[in-house]
Amino acid sequence: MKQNKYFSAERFARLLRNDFLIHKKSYLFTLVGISIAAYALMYYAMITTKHVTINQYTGFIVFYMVGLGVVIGTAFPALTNQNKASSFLLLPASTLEKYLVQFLIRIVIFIPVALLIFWICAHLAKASLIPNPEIGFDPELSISDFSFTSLFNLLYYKDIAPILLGIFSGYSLLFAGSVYFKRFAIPKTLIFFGIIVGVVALSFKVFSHFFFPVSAANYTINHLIYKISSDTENIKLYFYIIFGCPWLFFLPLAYFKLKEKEV
Amino acid sequence: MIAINQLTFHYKKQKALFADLSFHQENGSITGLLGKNGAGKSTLLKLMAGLLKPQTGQFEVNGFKPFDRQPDFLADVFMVPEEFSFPPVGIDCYVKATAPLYPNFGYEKMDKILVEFELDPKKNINRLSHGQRKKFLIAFALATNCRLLILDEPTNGLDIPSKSLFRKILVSSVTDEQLVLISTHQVKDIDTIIDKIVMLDNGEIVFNEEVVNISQKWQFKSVSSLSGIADPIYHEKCPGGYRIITTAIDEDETDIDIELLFNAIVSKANLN
Repeated sequence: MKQNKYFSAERFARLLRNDFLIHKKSYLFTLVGISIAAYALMYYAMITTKHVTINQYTGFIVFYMVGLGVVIGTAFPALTNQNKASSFLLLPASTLEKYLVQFLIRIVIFIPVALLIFWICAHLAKASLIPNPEIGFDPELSISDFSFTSLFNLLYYKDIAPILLGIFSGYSLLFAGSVYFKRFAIPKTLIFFGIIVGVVALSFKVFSHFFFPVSAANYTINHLIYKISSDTENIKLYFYIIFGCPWLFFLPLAYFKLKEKEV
Repeated sequence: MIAINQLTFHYKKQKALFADLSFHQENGSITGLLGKNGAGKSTLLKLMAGLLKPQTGQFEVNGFKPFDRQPDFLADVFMVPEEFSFPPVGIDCYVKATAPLYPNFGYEKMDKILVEFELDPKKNINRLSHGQRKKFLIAFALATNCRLLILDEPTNGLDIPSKSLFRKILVSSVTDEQLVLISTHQVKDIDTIIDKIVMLDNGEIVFNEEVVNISQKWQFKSVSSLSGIADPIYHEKCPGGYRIITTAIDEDETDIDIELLFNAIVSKANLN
């Protein structure tokens, strides 16, 4: 019986099982590694500063989320080596299934698990602090409780969709980079990202000079903020486009690059 | 079944390796693919497996376009490359993880070949020697029961007993529904098991003949002197005399000296 050439749930399950059985140790070590790193980072900060608010947690989680990018940027580990790449590409599964296995493991499963680990580590780090009445240190009073909702309360724009989509776009870029670049995928992806940011900044600058020749002098970028509807400013739309949409480009790019991969 | 018509292929920024290459091969044989270094053997095997994309031409393997890498195609083709690497897991774990992806995988066959190759299923693959890892890969390839088995230098790294064991296992494992394509420079390792010889030179198939026909057409002999030999097709000096190819003039069939035949073809001797 000819199976579906793009997707078969049974075949996908077998491929997923194959990946877990082969890479179970590395996945386990990664989770243990990020747990230790998150705990150590927060415990060290708490014990040295003796004062951690939700603002500090924001710094920790940004740092942590950037670190998680390493796991996503190292998706498709087989593609870094010609011999492994041959074995991977010749596994009896469709390109879509191979792609989805990595996407599922590295993004859909890993990110929520990693965020849960961060939450546990934040509470564990606080719980492991010992009160010191001599210097007036009481963790309950000087160390804030961490929660994800309190992070979003700090935001100026209460609309979290572009932020979440922006993070997703960043991870999608790293995911695409792992397929696109054979070696040193993360540094090459970051260089590519830097070039894109540079081009965007340059175009802002050029357009500022075109449209605001007086106020945009001395290397400044000028922009107008205006309402495009009764409750939406144009800048919000920019955010949606710049942070919310790139994943729509990067994820298909990764798929088609994988499909056309030659060894 | 392999059907190649007017295939063109070149690597990026290089001249064409194959221009107008055509080749047909039905299942039910063990075919030896021979050629000099750089003749394009490994590239042709990669094209057949779907690892490279041809520029033009019609190319079908088992009714599929290889580079589409459709799951049903991949489930019926297994390639043993010359160089390979494995994840750091045990043999049993690798089989447990990968075998279910091959619908015709023979677990009993795998166990039997592992025993014959003296491989312990509990051992980590990456702690085995190169030869042992190659034997495991060959065992896995045979156990998949794929209709097309592509073996690139399968005997490289095998010790002498393993080479003869490889021949024995291969011959007893393959069926008439399968096609085994072996590319090798170690012609003596496969001369008793192949039933077709294909030679590739400068991106062209310069020789494509069944072993039975070769035996009927030519004789391969060692002689102390060329005197008295009427017009040998090809001769080569060797210790104690000459190795020669002559047209078969009697019913006596000789063992095929593939190395001599290869040298004759490469030096453009007129075999007709």
